[in-house]
Amino acid sequence: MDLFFFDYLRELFGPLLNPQKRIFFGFLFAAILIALGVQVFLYRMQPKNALAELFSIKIWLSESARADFKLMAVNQALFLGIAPLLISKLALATVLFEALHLIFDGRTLLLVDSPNLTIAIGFTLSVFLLDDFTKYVLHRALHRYSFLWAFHQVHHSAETLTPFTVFRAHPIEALLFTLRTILVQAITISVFLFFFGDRADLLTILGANAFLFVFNAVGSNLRHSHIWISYGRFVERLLISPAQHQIHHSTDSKHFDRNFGVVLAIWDGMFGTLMLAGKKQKLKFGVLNGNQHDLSSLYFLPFTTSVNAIAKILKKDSKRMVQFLKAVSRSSGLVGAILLAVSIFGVSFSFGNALAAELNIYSHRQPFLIKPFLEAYENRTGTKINVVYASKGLAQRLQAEGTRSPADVILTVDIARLYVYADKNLLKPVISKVLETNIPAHLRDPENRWFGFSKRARIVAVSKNARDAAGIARYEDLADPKWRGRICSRPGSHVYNRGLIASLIHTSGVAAAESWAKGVVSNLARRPQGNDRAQIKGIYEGVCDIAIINNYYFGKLKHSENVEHRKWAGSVKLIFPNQNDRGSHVNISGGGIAKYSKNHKEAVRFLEFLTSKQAQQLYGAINFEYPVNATVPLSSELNTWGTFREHKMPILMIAKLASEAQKVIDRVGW
Amino acid sequence: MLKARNLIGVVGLSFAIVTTAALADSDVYGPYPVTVKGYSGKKTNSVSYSGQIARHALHDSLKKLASKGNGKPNADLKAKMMSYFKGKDKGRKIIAPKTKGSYVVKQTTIDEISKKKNIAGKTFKGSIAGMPGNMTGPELVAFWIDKASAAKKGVDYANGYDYGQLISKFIMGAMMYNQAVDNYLDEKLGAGKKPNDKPYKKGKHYTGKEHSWDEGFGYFGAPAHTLKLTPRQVYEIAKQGKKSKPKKNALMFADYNKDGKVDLKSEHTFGPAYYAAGFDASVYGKGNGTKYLHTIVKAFIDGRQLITSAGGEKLSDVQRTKLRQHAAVIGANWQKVLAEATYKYAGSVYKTMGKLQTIIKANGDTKKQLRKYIKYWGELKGFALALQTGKKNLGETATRLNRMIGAGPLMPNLSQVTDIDSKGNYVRGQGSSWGEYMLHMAKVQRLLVDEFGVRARNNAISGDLADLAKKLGGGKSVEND
Repeated sequence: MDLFFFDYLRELFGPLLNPQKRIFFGFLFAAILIALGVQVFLYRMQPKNALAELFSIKIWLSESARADFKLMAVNQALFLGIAPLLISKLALATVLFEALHLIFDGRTLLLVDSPNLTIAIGFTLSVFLLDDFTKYVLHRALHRYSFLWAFHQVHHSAETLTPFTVFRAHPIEALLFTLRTILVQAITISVFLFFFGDRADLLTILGANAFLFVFNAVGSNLRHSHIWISYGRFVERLLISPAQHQIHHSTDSKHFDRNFGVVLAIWDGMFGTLMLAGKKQKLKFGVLNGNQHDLSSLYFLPFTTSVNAIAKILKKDSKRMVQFLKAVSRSSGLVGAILLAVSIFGVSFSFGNALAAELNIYSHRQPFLIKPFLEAYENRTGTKINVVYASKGLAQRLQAEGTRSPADVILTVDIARLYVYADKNLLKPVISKVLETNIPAHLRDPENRWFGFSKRARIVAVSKNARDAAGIARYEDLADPKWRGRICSRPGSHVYNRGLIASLIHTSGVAAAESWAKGVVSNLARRPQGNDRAQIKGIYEGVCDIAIINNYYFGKLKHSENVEHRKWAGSVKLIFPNQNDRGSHVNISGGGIAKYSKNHKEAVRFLEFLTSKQAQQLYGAINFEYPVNATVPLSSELNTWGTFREHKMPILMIAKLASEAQKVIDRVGW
Repeated sequence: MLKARNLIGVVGLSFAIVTTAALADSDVYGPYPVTVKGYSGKKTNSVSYSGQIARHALHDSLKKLASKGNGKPNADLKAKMMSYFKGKDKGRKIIAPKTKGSYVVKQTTIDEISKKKNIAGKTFKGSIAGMPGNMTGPELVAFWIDKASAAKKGVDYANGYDYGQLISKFIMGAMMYNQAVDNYLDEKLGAGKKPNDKPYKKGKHYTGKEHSWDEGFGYFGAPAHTLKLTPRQVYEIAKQGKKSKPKKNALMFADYNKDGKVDLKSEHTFGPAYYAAGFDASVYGKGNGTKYLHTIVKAFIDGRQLITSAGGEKLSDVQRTKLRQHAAVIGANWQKVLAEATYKYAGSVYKTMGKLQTIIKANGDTKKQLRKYIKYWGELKGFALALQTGKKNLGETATRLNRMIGAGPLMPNLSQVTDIDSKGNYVRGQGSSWGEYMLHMAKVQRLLVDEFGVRARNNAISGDLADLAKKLGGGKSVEND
């Protein structure tokens, strides 16, 4: 409690000693000098009278001013409790700073040769401008929206203005301004640090932002006072004068919604809310609907007013809401029936599961891709399936688990990844006539440890606008210098590209594959980056005309819910390469049975299911992949892309040549 | 004759007491008197950690050897490296630290420090989750030795490995840190283990607890007179004059007995102490007034004095509790030093990535920066793995560190090692984007601050954010307009 009280006193009186605050005693003193100067020299008042007016008891001890002090005292205590609950600007700045790495894919410092002072000026100015602008925006919103005005009118209900009226604010308004400060500072700090490193620094005078210091030193405190100071027609378009702010507080309706700015008048100028001070006027301050000065009204009335305002807004939309609720209640009978059925089914299902067989799958394939298969299998057999999904690290996990591993089935994409499991001796051979019949020999392990369940073709996508590119017929054509600067590709080290290069090594040897890869790299339109989708986007955006992609990415984009994606797909045409010779390169998705599977029989049954007609059709339907089972027809969508001839090399060779292919990739810098 | 012998005995004994008392400076680790009951030998100083110092010298030498490859498989080099790692053979020369100018090292062979010592036998035997292949600590080092012997100057530019750094930093955890905090300062402090009322081994002149504690101190690698020196001076000793002006200062700081030579057994600075000193002396960056070095050494000395004061009796529960408190101070601060080092190198990796990005964009020559990048990454990875070899399983923190850092650095062609096949070949795939990997480094630093409370924070990636945020002030405000 003692600590709290100490903190409280520091919060209350600290600003008087803090040059970052407007009511720093130095600024107050400057304001007094300026006010006296203006009264005596400009308005020819007797110094004695000027002093008397400045410190008039009628103003400083008015009911309104006393309310200012009370609000200030209570608010500071309230904020001691609220402030720790708010997100800190450092936390927000950190998140933004980190996000910028992804947005700009890395971090390159800008203006490395500029002097540090230039960067510091840039930073200080940016903080100041963004700060001032957002104050304008928020202030304007507080006037514009009735549910916000309910709170802001607490400030405007002041009938006498003193420098301490700046603290006459409802805590909700103070909260909004605090959040604004956090946002502005977090943005400027993170952006500047990201682009300029530790050269981003704040120019300060006595520890305060230099610009704000100047603003405060030249009499900002007189904005809330009865001293009329106008800067004249020219300057008042740039800077808000005390007189302009007093106009903002005026009860005269012609002054309403004018001069929202704090330091700069340019925002008011830009958005049509500027009013110049003109000749000295006698103004009355306050609000029209009764000025309240007792604390309970000041604190609690705004809530009811604001809620009423919100209710009014909602009422406009209420008709639609009523209709919706009626519809819901009409269908509630149906909804109830469905809920009942689902719960009965759920209970019987979980009861059944207690008796059913179990199967544990470790999958590199994304959950949404394998879920339909699992559901189909569960429905057919009643087996309970558990899935552990991870994009990488599963082989290591399996290895570490050893004989204790619960895994039964491994599912993954790409032969090289599948081969890793066989290579590390993590798979158990499977003897199954069904698998042998359904999967062609070149798509399964000669030692029966792994099996391909679907095929994916690595094909060429070309821009519909590039007529010449439509003539590409073979992978080999991509190395032709005539395509210089026109090809997009993901990095060579990705398993899909490495697989393609391995197939070329298998076909024509390392030297030929390398010279091909070299040719392709010299034809690239940009540094290899992103995934296959990004390459189609590259064509759509005109970065390149030709891309190497896996066939299903085209399908995903074509049927995407995102309109943009559909546009990307719409901009390209597919080419299945090497149709007149060896055929297009294919890779597989596949799987095998874990060496220490405790449910071997069930696992075999599951693998066999994956080669059945039902499952094989799902591969096409869900992910535009081709069935390995030759008796299963293509999905209607795949049919429209045209049938193709595949390169029937033993798929195992793709894995075996992976390391050689990687060396080629390193040498050519793909 | 009898009288003369008695006289010699009395003189000898009083000399021993006087010298022991004179030298039993509370700022120096040893000498401490022999307290073993019934000891009849001639030794007067019970301090002994030469086995650990021999292992430090083996480690320093192994690191040097790791950079001797010529780019082709080299069986001789591999065998030599293995002899420093796993062998116990006689006649192994000290390859590092060796005499450098005025910094004269007293010993030139490992045997002069201690015989039949190796690293492998004392390296953490658990499996190392941060690297593929499910290898134990010694298996991983042997794997790296094999690779290092075949790599040109110990660096693999295709996969991004600097084997000298990986081996060295990893051993600083898997042997030095692990042996000290997980063995000597943990299990061996138990009531039933290595009791204080018996010699460590039959006939030895030190008790079980005395020697256990000494071995812990030995692994830390600080000069016995560390508390007489500033962290900067301890750091300069390790640098053997390279960072001293004039160069001979390093010898002056190290040579506590003023015999003109540095006795590796008690006067040199090795790995863990070197890093602790570096952070405390702010040699890597502005630092933050950390006191890891002196805190750790002070706790070692306090603990040793406590054991000595028991006079060869079994330690009471109260004494062992007190001893465990000193051990906890050592363990916590040592862990922080490793975390600080991981933090620092995550920052170096990040900075170099920024430079590489600029060079690549400008189509410049990346060779020099790439070399640095691989070196820093090796240090980062080595320390991150070292951090995981302590007493406690770091759980999720370890998983996150390992995932973010990966099995290899993200190379400029965006490839990254993802696995090691059964023949020991690296398997690479397309890694994350450049920006994402940079972000990983920032997150590694954040994780280390959150989990270990690192304070020196050298090479902070977002360090200036806090300074700027503070400068702007006014986070909470009830002012409006």
